[in-house]
Amino acid sequence: MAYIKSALEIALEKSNNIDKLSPQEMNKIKQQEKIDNILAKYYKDQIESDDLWKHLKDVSNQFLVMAQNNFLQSLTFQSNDYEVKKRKDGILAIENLKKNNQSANIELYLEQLKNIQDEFQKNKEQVLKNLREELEKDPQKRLQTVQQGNQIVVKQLSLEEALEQNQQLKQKLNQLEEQFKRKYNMVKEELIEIINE
Amino acid sequence: MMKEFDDMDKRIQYAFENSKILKWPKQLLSSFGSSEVHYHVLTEPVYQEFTNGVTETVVREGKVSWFPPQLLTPGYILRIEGFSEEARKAFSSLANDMPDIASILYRFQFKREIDSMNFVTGNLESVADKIAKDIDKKDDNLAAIIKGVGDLWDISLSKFILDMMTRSARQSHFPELRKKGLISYNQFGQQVVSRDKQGIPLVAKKEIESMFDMVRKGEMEPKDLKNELDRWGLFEIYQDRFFDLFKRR
Repeated sequence: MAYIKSALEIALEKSNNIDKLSPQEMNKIKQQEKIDNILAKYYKDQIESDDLWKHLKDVSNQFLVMAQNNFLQSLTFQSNDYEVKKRKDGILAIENLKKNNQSANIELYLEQLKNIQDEFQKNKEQVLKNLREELEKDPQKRLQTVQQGNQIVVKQLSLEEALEQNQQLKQKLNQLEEQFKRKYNMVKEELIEIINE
Repeated sequence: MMKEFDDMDKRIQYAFENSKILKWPKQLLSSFGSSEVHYHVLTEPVYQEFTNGVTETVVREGKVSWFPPQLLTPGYILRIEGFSEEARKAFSSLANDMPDIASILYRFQFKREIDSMNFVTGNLESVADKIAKDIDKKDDNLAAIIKGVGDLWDISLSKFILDMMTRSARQSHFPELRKKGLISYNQFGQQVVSRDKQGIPLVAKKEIESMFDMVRKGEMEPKDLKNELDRWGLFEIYQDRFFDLFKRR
């Protein structure tokens, strides 16, 4: 994902180079500051998604896209249901203010992102269920040994301990997560392209 | 030097993974007594390619003896000798977090003096088959045949020892201890040592009583009794009785 420099960062770079800021650049910084403030309020639940419309109705398309990108950047594979909904509502509320409204398309992609997360959870639960059944059937796999020379201590792990300590499970879940993360990021990239259109 | 270690680790892992128990002893290790298993480790000779088509199998025989398994708590294990710092750390945190977790300590030894090594004509499977028939004929319930890997045959034997112990623990020792009420399951599904109202582990109670008797009769040194009470963390409970022993003397 390409890193988008904020207007403030650009301004700071320019001031480091002792360049003067143009009126357009000054305006850009002001606009971005304003958006950052509004989004911070939204993230802190001080305003609702409907209020975004009121606060951003006079903002130009370019800055609306920037605000949507802000929401998308903070949307990750690990985001929980609440975080996803918050960002989804925010992106769609702003989309309604854009000239080229693509709400239906964006909603579809956001649904896809949610489905990928759900599918991962389902797969993860199935892997855990299979291993749990395997461990229940074969208690030998729940024995833990500590050997030192000619002494060995054997202790039987509870089902939960055995699951927690199972290295193969950890590896399998990591692989599964990587696989779904890749899918998730691909869809997210496509969504970014749509929003930036 | 590091590479040599890495290669050795890989070879050991290979030997461990490719060893196979061809015949398990019919009997498991005794739950309350000692046991002795007669092992046969079969390997293909390293000189196989120079035998002009005559197939041979190397048969190593010997005995592994096990002392009676001991049901212990992590705290007890922590107080006995012979464990590395790393193992002691693990037991230490277990002793703090789950002091009643039931563990079985196995001690074993090889009797190397009766080890023998023979070169038998025939491939590994046919030689194993012949030995298995001999074992059955002799009705030897504690004999095993292990398919080993070349010069790392002792790794194959270690795998057998470990498997034999975990097999016995699962199929016989833990269930027997549960049946006798010496261990039970806690609310998390873990096996824990059962204690009486005073907090004395039931498994230790009988042993401690018999040790008191032995000290009284002069068959045991008081310090051995003291050590055992310390290992269980029970000296405080028994201290009056312990000091009484000296009054009577």
